[in-house]
Amino acid sequence: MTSADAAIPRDAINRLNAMREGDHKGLFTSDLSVNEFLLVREAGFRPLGLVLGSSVYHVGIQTARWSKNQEMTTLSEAMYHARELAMTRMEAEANALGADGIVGVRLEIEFKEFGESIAEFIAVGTAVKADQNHPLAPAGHSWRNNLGQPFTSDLSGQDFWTLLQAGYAPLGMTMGTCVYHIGHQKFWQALGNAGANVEIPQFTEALYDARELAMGRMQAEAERLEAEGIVGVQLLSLPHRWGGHTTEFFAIGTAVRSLREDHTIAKPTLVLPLTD
Amino acid sequence: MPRSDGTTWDGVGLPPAAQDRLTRAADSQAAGSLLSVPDASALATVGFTPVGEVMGCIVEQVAWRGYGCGYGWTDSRTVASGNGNRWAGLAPYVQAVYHGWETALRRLLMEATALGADGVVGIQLTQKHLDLQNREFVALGTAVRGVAVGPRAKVPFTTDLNGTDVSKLLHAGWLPTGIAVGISAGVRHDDYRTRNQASWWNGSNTEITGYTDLVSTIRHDARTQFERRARAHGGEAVLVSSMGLHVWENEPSDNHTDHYAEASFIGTAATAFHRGATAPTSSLTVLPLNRTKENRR
Repeated sequence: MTSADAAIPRDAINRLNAMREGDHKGLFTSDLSVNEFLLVREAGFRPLGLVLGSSVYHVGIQTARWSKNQEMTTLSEAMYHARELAMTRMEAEANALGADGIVGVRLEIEFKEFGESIAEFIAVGTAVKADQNHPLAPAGHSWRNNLGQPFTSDLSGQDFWTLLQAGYAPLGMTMGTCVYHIGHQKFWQALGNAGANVEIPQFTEALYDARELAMGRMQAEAERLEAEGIVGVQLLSLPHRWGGHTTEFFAIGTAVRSLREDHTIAKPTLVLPLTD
Repeated sequence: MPRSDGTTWDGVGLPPAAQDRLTRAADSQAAGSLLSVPDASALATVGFTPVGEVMGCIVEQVAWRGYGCGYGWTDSRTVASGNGNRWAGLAPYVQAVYHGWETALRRLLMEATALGADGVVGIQLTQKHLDLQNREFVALGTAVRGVAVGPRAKVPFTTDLNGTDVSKLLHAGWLPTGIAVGISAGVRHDDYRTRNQASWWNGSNTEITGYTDLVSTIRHDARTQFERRARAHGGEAVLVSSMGLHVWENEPSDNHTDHYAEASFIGTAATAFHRGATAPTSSLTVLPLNRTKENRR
């Protein structure tokens, strides 16, 4: 931008003054940051609108044996079902907009103060549509996944841009959850370990089992989408409200497939930022 | 502050203290600004210089909230403030909050216009409860003016985006048009089915359809109002900067519980002025040589 057309360009002023007089075109909303918004546009996608799905859910009750390592299946199912409801409702909004995908998805849980086991599950993202004759897509390419659904991705706009440059396309968010009760030590065992530095094999095994279940379920979802891999995986331990020994192990990531054979990107330039 | 003739401010235009500050600013060479150094230099690259920090504020009494809860024994409905009925479902409350934000932003804009600004960037909207009924709404930002000669926009643009974001948008062929706030609040009576689904003795997994309806309806109403207000500024894009939802319980009498929800959306509308099919962005892949945190904003 040169100094001649600096500040508000004349074109913009004309449009602005015209629009204030009531000449409107299609409008979209998005919760992408400015960086993300500009990068998504540069990646050849047009935002269509903010899409949102929500479910207020009552999580059931299950009791565990004090000293037993076990999955809390009722709770696992609740976490799955409620997230599924929120995601499906978000996807329905995107479908209504005729979207090819949803980027920048956030999947959040908020337990409410007015109920013991009531939580709101919410999924928010920005529905996007690919430009026609997208330069990165092979001929006859459909951005929707093999289930005919718009793709979903919890990657940031920056990661989404880089992924496409490297020749990959997102297919869908995949998740696996497992609510697990880690058994307490039995009295004699605890007494025997008192004051000693030792591994508690029972606890180690429980954490291994729970994570494995969560990650295995995430992988199964990716296989259903015929994905090549999962990127940006987060493996979280969420204690929610079930006390110290019952924890949700939650794995989430974006399943991807190849758009082309090679996966090289332009060599990045090194910069030394002068800010923190 | 009473005026020299002993009268107090009549609530029209700007308070005397703000008028005095604007008069001082007109005579002074120095301009105040709330911009950070990266903000100021980024704005300079698109030809904007700060002309002063601007503020709008109002203290308002928010007392009467409205009445009604959409009562039904098994088939309650959610009553949203934007459903058209003047008094139902917290509509008077939402009108009062809208009045607060609109007045604060209007006063900010009056200051900016008096300074000859082309826009106001980095607007922060804050709300403070002074006591049970009175709250203060404040809008605070930095007025900027372009160096270019020629026609000027009739109304300065307003945005809650910071200086670097505004500069990036302009480089890419987008111009912010105005800040928009959308609010909705509503109520739903806990009917028989809702109480069953939500009660602690219900041991099974179930969606509480009534509460889902409450939060969805209120959020949807807030989004609709937000979009309508953003549209009034003109533009094809609205960048949402914050969205919030708050749910709480109220027990007006024995065995009668209602749930309330309030949702808000704040963001900036923007319009494209580039003529091509796509924005003239050109990103450069760089690898910063410091430790950076993953962040989305």
